[in-house]
Amino acid sequence: MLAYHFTEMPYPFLPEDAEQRYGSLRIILPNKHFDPKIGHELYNRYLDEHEYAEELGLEIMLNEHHQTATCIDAICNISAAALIRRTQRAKILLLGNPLPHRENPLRVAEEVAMLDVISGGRIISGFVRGVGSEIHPANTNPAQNRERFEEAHDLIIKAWTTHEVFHWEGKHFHFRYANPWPRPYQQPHPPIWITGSTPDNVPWVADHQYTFATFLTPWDVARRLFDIYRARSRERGFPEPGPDKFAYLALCYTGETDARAQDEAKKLLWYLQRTRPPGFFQPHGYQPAAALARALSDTAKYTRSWEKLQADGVVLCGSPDTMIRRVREMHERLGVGHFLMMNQAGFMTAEETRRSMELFAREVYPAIRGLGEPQCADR
Amino acid sequence: MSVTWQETHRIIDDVKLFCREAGDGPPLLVLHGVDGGEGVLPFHDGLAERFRVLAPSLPGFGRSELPGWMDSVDDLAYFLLDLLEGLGGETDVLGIGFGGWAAAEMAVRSQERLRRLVLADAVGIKVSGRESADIADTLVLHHDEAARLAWHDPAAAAGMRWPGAPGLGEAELAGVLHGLQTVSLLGWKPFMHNPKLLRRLRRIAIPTLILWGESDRVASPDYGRAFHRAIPGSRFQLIPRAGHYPHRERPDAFVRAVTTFLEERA
Repeated sequence: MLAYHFTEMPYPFLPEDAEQRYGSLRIILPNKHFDPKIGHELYNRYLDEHEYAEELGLEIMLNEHHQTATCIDAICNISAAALIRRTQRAKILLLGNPLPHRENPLRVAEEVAMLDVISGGRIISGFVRGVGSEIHPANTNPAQNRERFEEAHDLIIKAWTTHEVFHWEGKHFHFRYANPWPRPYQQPHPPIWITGSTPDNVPWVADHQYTFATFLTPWDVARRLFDIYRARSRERGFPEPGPDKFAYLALCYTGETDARAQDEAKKLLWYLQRTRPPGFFQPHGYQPAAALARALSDTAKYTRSWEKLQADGVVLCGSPDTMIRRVREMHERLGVGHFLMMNQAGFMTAEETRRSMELFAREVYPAIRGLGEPQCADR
Repeated sequence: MSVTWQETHRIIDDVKLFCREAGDGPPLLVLHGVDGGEGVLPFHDGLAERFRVLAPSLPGFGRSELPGWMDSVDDLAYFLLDLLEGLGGETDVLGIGFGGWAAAEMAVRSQERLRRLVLADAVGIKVSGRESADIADTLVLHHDEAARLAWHDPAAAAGMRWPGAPGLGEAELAGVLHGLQTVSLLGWKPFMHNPKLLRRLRRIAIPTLILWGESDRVASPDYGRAFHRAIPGSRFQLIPRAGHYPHRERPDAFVRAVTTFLEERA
């Protein structure tokens, strides 16, 4: 099993009433509340933590969101570029580039290929639809989000695998002389990962045999999604998908003792406690009407108790022994080979984050590393 | 006087269009806005006393299907022209809000089958500069916020079916969301307008009434006057004590204004 360090790079230093005053920390929180000097410190702190992850033997995961204080990593390809020249070994997982929101998918093909070539093949290229709250910052049509995703994906793969100039006149994208330079270091292209939290796109991911990642999804739901992937793979005659095809992201904290971990990990809740006004988080057309009606009628997702979050596997925290037990349980229940660790959120300090990462790397990782496929375990 | 409505399915361009039809008199096509697509409202009944009313649920609203090829108001306008073609003769067209946009797009394309046109609190044109919105973004709003903007008297909006409306069950909500999803698809960008439409309005040569709720804060009466200025010979009329949905808020005054105009021009 491979473990990845991740933070959304939050900017939590806001007026106390900011969320109440503006309704959300996303989209409509004016950027006058962003102090570039604090931003400078935060970016460098978070990037340092990623470099430290490599020192500790962990892999690196980056993502992006737009117009939000919850995540100032606005362009994951830029943070990846900042890290590539300062790291030598770690995989850099971009999870990911929001394809429907890019006007020119060939730019994505170029950016990711460039990162892959500079890093000598350390890139994992995640493609995402972007969560609902990404719709307004990009102002792309929510009802066409999935078709834009699929067409952009097809175009990028074509660009990475067709080593000749080609023509593209699709519904959303048009090129008469498509021929991006460079092409990726890893041939034919870097591993591709796709995210999801509902069954909608799982068959598509399985059809392409990409790695499917799910974030903060209760384990029983995650298991159902992974099983849909497995069933579809069998249906299509693919080999039984191994742990390499599955990734799970949890909020993680390793402490000296269970009691201390339980206490200190609560800082991670900042991420889950944010308000999510439906108009901005679930724009009309982003998901089918029936699914949205269900989601609007069920607001329990972000109001689960601390105990429930842990029982669901969304939060994993504890002493090193507890963490070993929990990660083994996760592996047994979900069959994942990639463990995405959101080790930082909200006001969790650099010291706290590093201490938790160290404890995990020193005392937990060696015991769980052998879980999953050999190609995952001994790289 | 009670009106008996028939529920019909018409096939237009291989698309099954769910319609409600009632009344006798000259044919009148009623195109709903983002607020409707299901159900008969009092203003429908009022109109059916004087006209043969055809009130479809637009494709992607209510029980009408949305064909895969339809992803713009341009597509919708041609589709509705095909509907009129199928009816034969000439039809009066009343378009409300989003339906008013569709009606205007029909009229600039062809008036061959259109007799007269009424645009009520319509959207579809761009009037102000690039740093201001002519049309309020109600799509992100909760029922109460939307009501404050869209109604002269927000308290009267309690029964309006909108996300967050009190007492709206999951199945009914899904129906509302189905329509709003179609609004997103057809009107997301540019938001609720076609930058070309304002200039094209001068092509409209049939008698046209621009009818507007005096308290409309979704698209202001001044925005309505821009339609009026752009359509030669059109008439502009305000409905007092009504917002963006005068057909709901002041059905009697609304019906009176529409019938007076259409009968005067008979």
